[in-house]
Amino acid sequence: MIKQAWALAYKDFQIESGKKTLFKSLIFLSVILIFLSSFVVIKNPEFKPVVGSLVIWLILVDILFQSINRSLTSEDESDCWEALRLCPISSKVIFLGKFIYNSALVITVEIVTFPLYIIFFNLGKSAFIMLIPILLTSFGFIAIGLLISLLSLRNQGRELLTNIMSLPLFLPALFLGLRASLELSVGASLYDILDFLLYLFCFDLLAFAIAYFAFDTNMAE
Amino acid sequence: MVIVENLTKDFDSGFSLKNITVSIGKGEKVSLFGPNGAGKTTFLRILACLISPTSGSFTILGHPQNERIEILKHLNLAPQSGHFYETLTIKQNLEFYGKMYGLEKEESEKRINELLQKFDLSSKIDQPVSHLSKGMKQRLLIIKSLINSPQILLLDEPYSGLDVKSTEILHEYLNSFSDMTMITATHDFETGVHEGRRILIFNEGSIIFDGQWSESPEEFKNFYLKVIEDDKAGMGAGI
Repeated sequence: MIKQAWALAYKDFQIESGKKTLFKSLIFLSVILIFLSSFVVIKNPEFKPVVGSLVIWLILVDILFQSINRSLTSEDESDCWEALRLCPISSKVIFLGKFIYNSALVITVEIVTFPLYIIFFNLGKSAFIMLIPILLTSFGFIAIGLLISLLSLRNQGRELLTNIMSLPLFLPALFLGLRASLELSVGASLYDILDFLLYLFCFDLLAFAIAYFAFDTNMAE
Repeated sequence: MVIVENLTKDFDSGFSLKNITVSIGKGEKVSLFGPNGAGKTTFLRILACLISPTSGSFTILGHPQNERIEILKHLNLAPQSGHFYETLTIKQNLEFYGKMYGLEKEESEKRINELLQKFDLSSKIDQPVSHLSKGMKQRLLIIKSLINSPQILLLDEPYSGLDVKSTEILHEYLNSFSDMTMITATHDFETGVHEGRRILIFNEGSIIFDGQWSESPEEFKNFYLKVIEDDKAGMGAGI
């Protein structure tokens, strides 16, 4: 099962590495956001923690919505959704494969953009710990986002529908993550935000379990 | 091998399959004829576990319809188009499907090379699927559907859009798999009507003819048109 999920994730990487459209657009938007917001901080240095945290979360939300939206619709648009359903695999394999691919994409984009964020906002290397709440929030959202994306696959305006339906489920984790990164940006240590991280971890576990067990490709028949 | 009992499928659009009961044995070659919208593709898609019937049941190789994974290990479907990632090469696509069918790397490579050679596509192995002609894509669809060495192969209009020569080549390739049960939805009388081949004629969701044809495809065509006319007129064809 894991082997086939890896194969699915690897196939998505092969497609993305050939076109690079999603990756390029994510990087481009991230760089623009970081660059423009850094000007605000130069003029008003007192806003640095707030603006800095907000920007990194805006980037994350953009990555998550774009990648989740494309994840299943790209299979459907190329008529390969049916081919996947013809394979003797459980729906869970498709979920796991897409989860691995989207998680890896988020990590890759963050790895590329985070150093720029640190440079433009003139932050120390310790700012890298901000990646912990960011990634913890991402994993739960990817799981829930995939399930919602499956439910809206056969609908018109499915991309908008996915965003609208996932947002309320994602908001508690988003607020927790945002709060944790705000605390970190004003000098809190990892220990100080342990409670937030624990809640985020629980959110991830719950989101993953619900999405894993509920993900059934027959829903999109 | 394939046992279908009282299979019915209703769609919201009103189109349906009505009480299909049919049994297909091992190695049988079956041609499904019928006008567009008669239910041929729906029938194939139900057997391939892509859509669920509204009522009725089917068993494939002793596995009931709810044992989808077991059925799909031994059955495959070649649709009219699609199923390939256009930006990936033939090799990348087939390797991916090989993995999804649970083949080991060496086994998958061997199988892919064998099939590409048989279907005369070896030289294109590193070309993206988007660069292939319609005929090549059609052959590639057949290769993909043979990758798991299925015992039952469902083909949905495999000759649609092909020129005469490509049709002949593909027909010859498909006939070389003598042990395999093949159920082919087609509009092509030349390839679909042969001695020893079972013919099912669908019309408006029902099977109106089930039998063999020993005369020429041209005569079958006249018979087919008459059967459809009679069925529409409510006379029935007599199975």
